[in-house]
Amino acid sequence: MIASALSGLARSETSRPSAHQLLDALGVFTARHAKRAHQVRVRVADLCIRLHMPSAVLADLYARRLGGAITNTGTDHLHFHLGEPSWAGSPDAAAFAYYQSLGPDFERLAGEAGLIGVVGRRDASNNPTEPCTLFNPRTGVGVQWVTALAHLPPWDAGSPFRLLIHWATAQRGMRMMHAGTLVSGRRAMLLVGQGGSGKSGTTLAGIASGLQTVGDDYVVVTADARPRVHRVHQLLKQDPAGIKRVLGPRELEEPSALNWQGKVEIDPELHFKGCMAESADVAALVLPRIAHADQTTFEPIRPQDLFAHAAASMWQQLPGAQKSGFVFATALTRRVPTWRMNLSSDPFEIGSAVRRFLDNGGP
Amino acid sequence: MVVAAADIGLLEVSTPDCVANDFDGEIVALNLSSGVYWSLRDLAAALWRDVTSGHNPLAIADRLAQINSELADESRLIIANLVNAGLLRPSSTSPVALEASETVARAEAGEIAFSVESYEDMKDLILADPVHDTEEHLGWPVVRNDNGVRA
Repeated sequence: MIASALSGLARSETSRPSAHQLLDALGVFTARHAKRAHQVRVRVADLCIRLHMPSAVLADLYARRLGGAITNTGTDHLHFHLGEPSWAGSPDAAAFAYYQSLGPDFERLAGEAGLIGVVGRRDASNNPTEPCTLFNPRTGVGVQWVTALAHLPPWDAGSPFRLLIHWATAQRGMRMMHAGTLVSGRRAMLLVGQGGSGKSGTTLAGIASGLQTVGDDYVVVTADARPRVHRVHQLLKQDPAGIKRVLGPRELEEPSALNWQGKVEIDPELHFKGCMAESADVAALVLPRIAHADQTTFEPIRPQDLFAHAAASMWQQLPGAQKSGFVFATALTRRVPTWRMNLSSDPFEIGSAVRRFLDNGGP
Repeated sequence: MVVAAADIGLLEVSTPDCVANDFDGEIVALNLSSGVYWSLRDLAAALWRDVTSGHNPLAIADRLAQINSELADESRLIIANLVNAGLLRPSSTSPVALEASETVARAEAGEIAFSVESYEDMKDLILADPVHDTEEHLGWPVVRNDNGVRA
């Protein structure tokens, strides 16, 4: 059993799986899994992704959170699998346990096989921090292997396949960033900054005021002369106080349990019909600041200063593609006007101020 | 004003105009005002780490001259270029290096390559290394061209 194999397997040097065997295991697993899994197609950043899921329920949940299933015919650019290796018999239990035990060395082994991968490490509470995730850039096939579906980290369903999307988009010269967004017409404001700086609250305030968003957590930005931002996940995350501040006495139609961060996860389309945009031009990079001001104001900020405050959200947070992420983030701060936004305490005043900013091209 | 190598003393990173990061040994530095990226590898990366941790570049050049005079000349030229590119500036403090010079140690071990490249378009850097992070990772054969991705 995998569980027993995980509990103390020690392979000799000679019997340890090689990079070649890892590549074979990926091929065998995905071939077998594709025949048995529930399949659904989604579109992210103009890429068609076929999801291969272990159950119809998970297929439906992950598809909804990736913007909804699509039915058009066309080429699948990417194939992402979520499953238990034991279900397909590859890799075998001992090899999978070995991969899980490698920690940072798994990335090296994957690299030797022409793949990129990370393996879940255990946090201080012995909870897995990431599933064993592997991506083949030549074929566009990626997997998230878990010993058991119950071992998926609590944030996985909140941001499905984030690492595979990150690597696949980085491979194409794009960048997945941790940022909030607000859109008016075709113009988007990218909200960057550290956790707690007001990104999600500003996004929620904006859509409650009639603006659109392409997301408040992970988004994909292109490196075009006029950068564009694309939706990744269709889910907003906000702490209960923030929800109450914006919605007031209005109750959520479906009260939600708190997620692992103590936040409420809501499908914004259920509450603000039409608020999700697929993509928009990036008109401004904005560093919000909770100022409790009477009025929301904007002031220009040097790209250097915005970069210093927002480096983590723009490129440091996700593993892999770190150098290209650093270069991308610095280039974006030079290419797009950079602003600081001093927030008022009134969500609807904030929404109006953002709309004026986007419609006028500045404050 | 162009700075001559002989005028240079202790140095520091020209923050906030310069942002730099060490990617598994390779230094990528950018002057956000000019938009020019620099990639420093091998002895050039060691030299950056040395001078940004308190080593006097002239003292390093003197030590390198005892090994190979060309290495000393090259180190002086690189430092002058990095200062003139706005990536390094004279230090406002007097830092004291706690470790021995990495540049000198590696030169004594036989290294001779100062690898320095600059890019005016960030795409050149991104496309050369689209996903993977380090040189030591083998088998990352994907390079993006203008039409997409090729193996």
